[in-house]
Amino acid sequence: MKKEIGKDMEMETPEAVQAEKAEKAEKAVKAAKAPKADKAPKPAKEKAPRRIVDRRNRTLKTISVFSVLILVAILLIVNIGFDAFLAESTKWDWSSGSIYSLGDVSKEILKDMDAEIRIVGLLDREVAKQSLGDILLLLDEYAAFSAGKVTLEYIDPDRTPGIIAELDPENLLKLQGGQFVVRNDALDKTKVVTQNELYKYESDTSNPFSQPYPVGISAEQAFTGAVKYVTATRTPVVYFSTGQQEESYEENFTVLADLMKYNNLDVKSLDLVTAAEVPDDATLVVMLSPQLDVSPAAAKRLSDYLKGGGRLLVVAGYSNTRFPELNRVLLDYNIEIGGSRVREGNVNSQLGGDAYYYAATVPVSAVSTQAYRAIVRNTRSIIDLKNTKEWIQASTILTTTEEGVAETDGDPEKSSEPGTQVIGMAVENSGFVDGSTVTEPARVLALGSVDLVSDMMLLGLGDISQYNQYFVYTSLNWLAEIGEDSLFIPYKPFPSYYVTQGDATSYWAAAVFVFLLVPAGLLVTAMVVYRRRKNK
Amino acid sequence: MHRIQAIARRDFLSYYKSPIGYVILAIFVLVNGFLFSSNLLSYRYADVGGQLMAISSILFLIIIPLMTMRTFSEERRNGTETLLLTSPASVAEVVIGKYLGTLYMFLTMTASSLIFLVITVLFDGNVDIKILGSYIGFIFLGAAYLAIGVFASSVTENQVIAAVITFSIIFGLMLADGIASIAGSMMSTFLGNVNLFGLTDLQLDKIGQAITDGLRWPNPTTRLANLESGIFELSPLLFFLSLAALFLFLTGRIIEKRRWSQK
Repeated sequence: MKKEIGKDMEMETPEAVQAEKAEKAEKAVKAAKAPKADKAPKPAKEKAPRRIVDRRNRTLKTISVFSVLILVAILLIVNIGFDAFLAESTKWDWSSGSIYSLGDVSKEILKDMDAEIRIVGLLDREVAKQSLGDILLLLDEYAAFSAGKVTLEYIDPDRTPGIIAELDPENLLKLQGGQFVVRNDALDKTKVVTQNELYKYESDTSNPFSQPYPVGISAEQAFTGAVKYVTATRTPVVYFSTGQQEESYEENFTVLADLMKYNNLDVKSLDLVTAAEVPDDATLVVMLSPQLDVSPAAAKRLSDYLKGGGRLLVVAGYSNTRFPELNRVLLDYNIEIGGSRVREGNVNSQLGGDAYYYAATVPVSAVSTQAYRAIVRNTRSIIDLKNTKEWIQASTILTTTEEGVAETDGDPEKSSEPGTQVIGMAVENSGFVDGSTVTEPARVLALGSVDLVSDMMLLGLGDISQYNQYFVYTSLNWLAEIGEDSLFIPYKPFPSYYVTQGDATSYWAAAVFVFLLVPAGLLVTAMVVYRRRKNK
Repeated sequence: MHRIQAIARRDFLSYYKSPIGYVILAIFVLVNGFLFSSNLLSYRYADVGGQLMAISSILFLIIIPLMTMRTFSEERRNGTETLLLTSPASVAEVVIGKYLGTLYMFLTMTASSLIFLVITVLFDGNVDIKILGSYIGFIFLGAAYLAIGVFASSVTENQVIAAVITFSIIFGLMLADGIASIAGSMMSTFLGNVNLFGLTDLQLDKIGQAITDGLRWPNPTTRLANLESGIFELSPLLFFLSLAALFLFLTGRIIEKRRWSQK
């Protein structure tokens, strides 16, 4: 009895009902077909089940079509809705060092920004995706973190030639395809970011034919710097002096110049020999490795500029040049560009056993809040004149270890006793009086190494370069007072997937295992299975 | 649920009762092994995640049709489909069970690539979290394509035709990316030539871009770029799941139709 009840209950399941219905339908169809076979004419009875079946098939078809359409609609709504409202909040940068995410400095700048900024990539988006795929991810973040204030467009000037004239009506920027334009229409300010600025490149110095290759992303520096530039109502100017056979900032010192540009500083040249005076818009004058002393007239111009609250950066590596006129200007700051070549006696600080190429000490000072080391080469002494004045604040910002030696006139025979040699000083003089009021304090920073700020040191030393970059950044910050929203965004290196252990033999063993043994083993197994099946 | 598992287990084990499962694994390891070995020997380079994504397109074109062509076709060819359809399992259970069977096979195949991770670790290579993103992207895209394959297998009893249909759909999706760009460009050029509405070059370009974007949106192959780079996002995963759900539903409708078919 129980079995019977169980059986009945089992038959009540939807599957059972379906099966029963199917059976009935099949019987009905058979019944409908049967008269045909017997050729017995029963027209009224044979048409009814077929109609039922046709009607049911039509109903099923209609249900199928509508249910598929409804499902497609639901899936579209869910996906489009998710993309529109939740895509950004459900995205995480898992790349090594979060190289595709904006850092806090950039996010803060975008958050505080009021201006409407347009970033226009002058290239087709698909082309950009293929050639700059990673950068596009970073650019998307500018739009995402600016609460709609930054708009991002990709316009191919070949297809839309009018865009060049729209962005640069007077053709001052000489825009070209492939560049990015950051524009603030309200202030009519534009900054161009070239593709070279987006990646950090290195080249194999041991191979003269080596082409530069990208080792990381520097696009955040470039774009955030451009955003700062176009949103600033005033852009101070840094003048690199010429006329004393200085190095050009456009050749081996581009990183230094870029660091300035990304901090809303314009960079220009100034011929100290011919200029009547240092321009009023100068926020800083840089003398980059002068090979001649300044003329008395140029010295006066510099002195006048400084007494009006000017800022001067002198970078002078060791050479035979002496600077009596320039030192006369620096006398007001109690420092002097020395004539001694400095070498490092501590072998642990030397690079490659070269006493003139070493890691210098950056102590805590007015310029830096932490102690660290930066790489220098071919250094010259900077002399603290010890003529103490209440209104002169001098800080030592770069030294050797206690085993440093000063070679007078670069002659190792005329070496000083080992001791800490000063190769960088920062001085503030607040004692200049203009009528009854004290003028803006003047600041001078003197460095005894040109290599310290060269592209080679700021880029070419891998992670170590970041210390030199930081030193330059803090020095500029102190000199030009780029302020609270100052920008120091180190480049983000690509992760390395090179293996560091093993030798050629072990690599070959691994290759043979994964490329030959494992696939061969699987194929043999496949053949065995096949033969077994065949023999069954 | 136990019916789904029973069907899935039966289908999964069937791969190893015939040579097909081993052949699929061999192809996967061979292609992966070739890339891994050449990078290791030539450059001392081992990026398993990047490698997996790089070969996914070509692998899916070969492996997914191989893996799914028998799912329903073989049942029909052997005449066992009637047994399956008249069993107590519902159509949904049958479809999901068979899909899971192929998915288990796919996951087993993917797991075999862990051998490359082990070797990378032994050689002190970089195994970072980006690799996890690559694996997740690979598995979800594979799951979507498997559903397409299961669907193709349900429409014909010929395994070769089922494989060709799957291959064609996946290959078509890969081509669609390029076609979308061309279509957008052609449309903006056409509108520019007709110029009925007096649109500017910029507006025409934007229309072309919108068309390209619209055509590209439903294409799964365009959605892996971020995962490849190490950006993990849920949006493409939801899309892949939706695609799988749609094709499994379509498969269900086809099986349902056949269940009630008078033939």
